[in-house]
Amino acid sequence: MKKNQGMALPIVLMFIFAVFAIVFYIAAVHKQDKTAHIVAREHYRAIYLAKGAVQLALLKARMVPQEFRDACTFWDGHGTIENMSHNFGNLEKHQDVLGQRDSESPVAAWKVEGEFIRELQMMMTPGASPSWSHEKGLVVDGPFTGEFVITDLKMLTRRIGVRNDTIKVIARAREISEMTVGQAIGGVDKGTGLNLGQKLEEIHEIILK
Amino acid sequence: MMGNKAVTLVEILLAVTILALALVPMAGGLLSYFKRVNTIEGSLDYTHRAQNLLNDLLNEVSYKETQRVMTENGCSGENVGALSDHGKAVVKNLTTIKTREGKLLCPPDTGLNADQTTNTEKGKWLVSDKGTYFKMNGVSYYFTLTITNIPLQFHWKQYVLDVHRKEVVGWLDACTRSNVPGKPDVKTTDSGGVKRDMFQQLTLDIRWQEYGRNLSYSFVTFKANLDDANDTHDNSTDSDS
Repeated sequence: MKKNQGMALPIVLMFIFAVFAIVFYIAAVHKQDKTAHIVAREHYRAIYLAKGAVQLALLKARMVPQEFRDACTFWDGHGTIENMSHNFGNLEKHQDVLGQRDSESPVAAWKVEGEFIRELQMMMTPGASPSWSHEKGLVVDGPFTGEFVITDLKMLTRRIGVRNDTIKVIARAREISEMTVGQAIGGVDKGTGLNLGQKLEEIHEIILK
Repeated sequence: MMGNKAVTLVEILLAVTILALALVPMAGGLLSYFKRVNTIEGSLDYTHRAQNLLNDLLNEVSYKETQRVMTENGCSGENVGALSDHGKAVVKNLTTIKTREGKLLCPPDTGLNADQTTNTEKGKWLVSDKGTYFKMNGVSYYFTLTITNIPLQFHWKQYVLDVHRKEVVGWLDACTRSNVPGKPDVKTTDSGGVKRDMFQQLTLDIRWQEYGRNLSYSFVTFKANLDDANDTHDNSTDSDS
């Protein structure tokens, strides 16, 4: 009998310690799970903003097809602009319009940069007055703060006289949220600590008249 | 012997008190965790359903159909084609939207008693005044779609050529839908000759109630008229309607 005296408290304390250990473990898993869940939700939002960006780029190519082809031609250095054949010897002086030549695919694609894609961007803020300007691109009202930008637009096949053209669009989009500071979807911006967003690359075949 | 018994009683009372005090927050934490685990299936399902809906709206549903849905939900479209047009429609019944192939975007779960069911059939939907919804583990997830017209004004470089030297010597800014004489205007009619805005903001809101809390999530994307924007008026190519 004496041997068992004083055992209740240690047993209870051991039991509580064991339960605490389990609870702390579950809390740690729960925290990781919650963070992963938030990042996943922002990832999904970014993907659909980027898909919207691709639609905007394709629409511009479709609505001003001649200017799109001109911009491709200008990049390529030779071809047809305004139905006249041209061969540009010195491309360097036009780089402020077109940007740098794409060294990765110098022959396979006609890359459109600079003026044609400069305004293909969007900033969404709750309560914003919707507007559209050459400098800022699209400003819209929405349920969360987010943005997209077209970083690359290429014509992969050029079929003048044939109706379909294959266009590659690369867009970046993100939700701007304090919840994911340091929790990167596509890397962290060192300055702001915000995630760099989701990169989306799509290839579409569309009809350019 | 009596002294030892008294110590044991105090010890037991102390132990029970500590146990009671410690178990309350621990039980709360555990309960919260298991509640969350219980709803993971529902959250995965609403995320997947939302993604499927948006993918279909972007790829399988024609632009004319989304405009028809806007009109059906009270957006008059009086200013369509004007830069001031920010017409908006809140669509609560998604079961009327059709794909290009004539399939329903959200097929309704017919013959179901919504009050009694715990889960709706996979991929099937119900409609109420709060929106189009499905049930998972007894929780109803309500979807509403807001479609907003976004008028655009594109810019580009219009090249100035030196024909003799075959060089581009400069460029001009140009824009669409401009009132400035001499600057090009991009057509805002479809192949049927109907005036339309060419870009829409699609906002998909999902709302549900979980353990007394009102929760929500939303996606935003944009849909362009890639079907027939800027096409010449030609009724023979008008096959989407």
